[in-house]
Amino acid sequence: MTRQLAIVMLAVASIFGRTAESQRRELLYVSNEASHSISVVDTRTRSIVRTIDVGFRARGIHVSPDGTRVYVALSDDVPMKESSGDRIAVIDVTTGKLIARYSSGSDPEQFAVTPDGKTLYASNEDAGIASAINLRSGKVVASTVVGIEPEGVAISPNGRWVYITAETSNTVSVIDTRTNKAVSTFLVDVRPRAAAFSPDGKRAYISAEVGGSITVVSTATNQPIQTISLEHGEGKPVGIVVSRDGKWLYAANGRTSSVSFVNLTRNEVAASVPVGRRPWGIALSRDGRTLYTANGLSNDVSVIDIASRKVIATIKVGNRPWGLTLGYR
Amino acid sequence: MTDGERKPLPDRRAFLRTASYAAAVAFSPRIVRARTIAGPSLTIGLILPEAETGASADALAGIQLGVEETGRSAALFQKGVTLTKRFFSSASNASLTAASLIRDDHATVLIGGGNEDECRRIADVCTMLGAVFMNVISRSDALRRSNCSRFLLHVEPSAAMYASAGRLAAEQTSPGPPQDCVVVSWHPSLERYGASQLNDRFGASAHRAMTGYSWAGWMAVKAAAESFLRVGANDGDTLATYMNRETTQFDGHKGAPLSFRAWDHQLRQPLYCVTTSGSGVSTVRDVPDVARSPRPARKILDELGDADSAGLCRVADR
Repeated sequence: MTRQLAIVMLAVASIFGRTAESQRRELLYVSNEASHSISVVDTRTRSIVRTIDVGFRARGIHVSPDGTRVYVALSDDVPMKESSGDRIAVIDVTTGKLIARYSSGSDPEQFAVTPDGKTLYASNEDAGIASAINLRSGKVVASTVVGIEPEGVAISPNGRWVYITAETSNTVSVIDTRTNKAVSTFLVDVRPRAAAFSPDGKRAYISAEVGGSITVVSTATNQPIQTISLEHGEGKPVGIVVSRDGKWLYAANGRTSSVSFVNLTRNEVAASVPVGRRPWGIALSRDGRTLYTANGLSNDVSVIDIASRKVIATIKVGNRPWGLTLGYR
Repeated sequence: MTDGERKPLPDRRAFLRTASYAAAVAFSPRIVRARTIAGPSLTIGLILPEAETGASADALAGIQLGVEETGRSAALFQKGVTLTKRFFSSASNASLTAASLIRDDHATVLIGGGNEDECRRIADVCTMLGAVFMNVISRSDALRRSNCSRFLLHVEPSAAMYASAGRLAAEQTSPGPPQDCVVVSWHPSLERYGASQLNDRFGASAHRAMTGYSWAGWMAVKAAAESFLRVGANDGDTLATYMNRETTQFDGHKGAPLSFRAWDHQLRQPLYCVTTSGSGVSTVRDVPDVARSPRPARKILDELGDADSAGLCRVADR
């Protein structure tokens, strides 16, 4: 094979590859806490293509970094005690089937997966700990004491640090993924729910539901540097997501049924978009043009066009949708 | 107090009480003003009547859960929260018990209470010695109207707040047969805003259902310990300043941000109207329903009980 021919073949393969990539179906996976199921939505047709029964309360939900699996935090209704219902369920994206249930510690609520796809960190709400789960063995490999009623989990883009929020103690614990030990704890605004990092890892953002604000954190010092008030403190942010260019943060305000568009260059709110009732989970499409919110009281998903800042569609899902994530097939 | 405002003269009884405590302080070399204690710890003094009542037993269980939980939070910062318990046998003994907690046990925050007179006596000692007293028992309106001190904070709602909430609940009742409504400050069936998690944790710790007094005890500890961690000091003066600050707010699993009102040092909070059906099922409604109102939560909560217009403590704080 001549060198020129090889270059031409590579170029053709690249074009076909890109075409195949763009033609992959974008699927939205929605966890339904009350109906114990996952609704799978084709985002192109905005219709449900599959409903997966998971048998327990489904809350936190995230796709794996390689896009092949969807993880879901499941818990039972028995408080303060780990049972067989407390698991991380694994869904195969290709088949849409539930293929495994991993140990997770008691009452897992939120979690995040390291960028290398090897470890999952989950908050164990009623135990006040965070569990590290090896995704190859499906076993809990470490438990770390964090604040009271832990919830939000985020992992820095370089995979080194895990931030765990705790709703009752108003704290964020920082876990070093090399040692699985908490190396720092800091206080944030009242009732912290979710955490998210900027793409460059220099900033982290924490939503404070009762405080009605977003706390901006310097990850170099693990200290809050600014608090952005949402709707004069009356916004009640839960789920948050940062745009891929790091310039915007979108916050789902559960109690005010709206999404705040926060300009991160100026650290101020630029717009508030009304959505369905009690949005908690929020996800951003791969092309960065569309937002989705899981609306727990209206049992639907709002589809928001970011450019026009308007809801362009509403998709009915299961009962009490909690979180959502995007996968591709 | 601002320039031009004058502190009202104390009444005769208050004068005599103050004079007797002043004498006690003067003649007892062991009584010292509460100060920052070496070591990263907050000592909370529990002060309740010796004769156990339903309210005091409930509050005690809430305080204990609060200390256990905030102790765990403080440990994350290499700090501690400890509890010392003392019980008083009479109103006159309440002041000595308060002084002992501050003087001997180095408590800078006292949590508990009793009847109006007992609370008044504890509050006077705390004000004199610079410790915070968080009342979680007495609902007396008179206590809130006359004993103005930034060291005296009320977590248990006032009688006026319960009465206001009852009137609001009656106004909000939908058409149909009238239903008896009991106004409470907490209920074990509450679920939203993390309430079910708190109810579960309390049940696991105390093996009983969480009542309003239990919640008040737990909340008082949470507010005190959180203030201690945020300001990094454990002296009563700094803690009182922080807790009374206009911008300070706490979360108590009631949905709305909770804060202390400047005019009566009462914790702003929603209450609940509980109706029980013939089959024993309780229905709990927020009163006022802050979440459904477009108005700011603080404005709505300020209308519960004594209003700012009463001009109570703003000019009379000690």
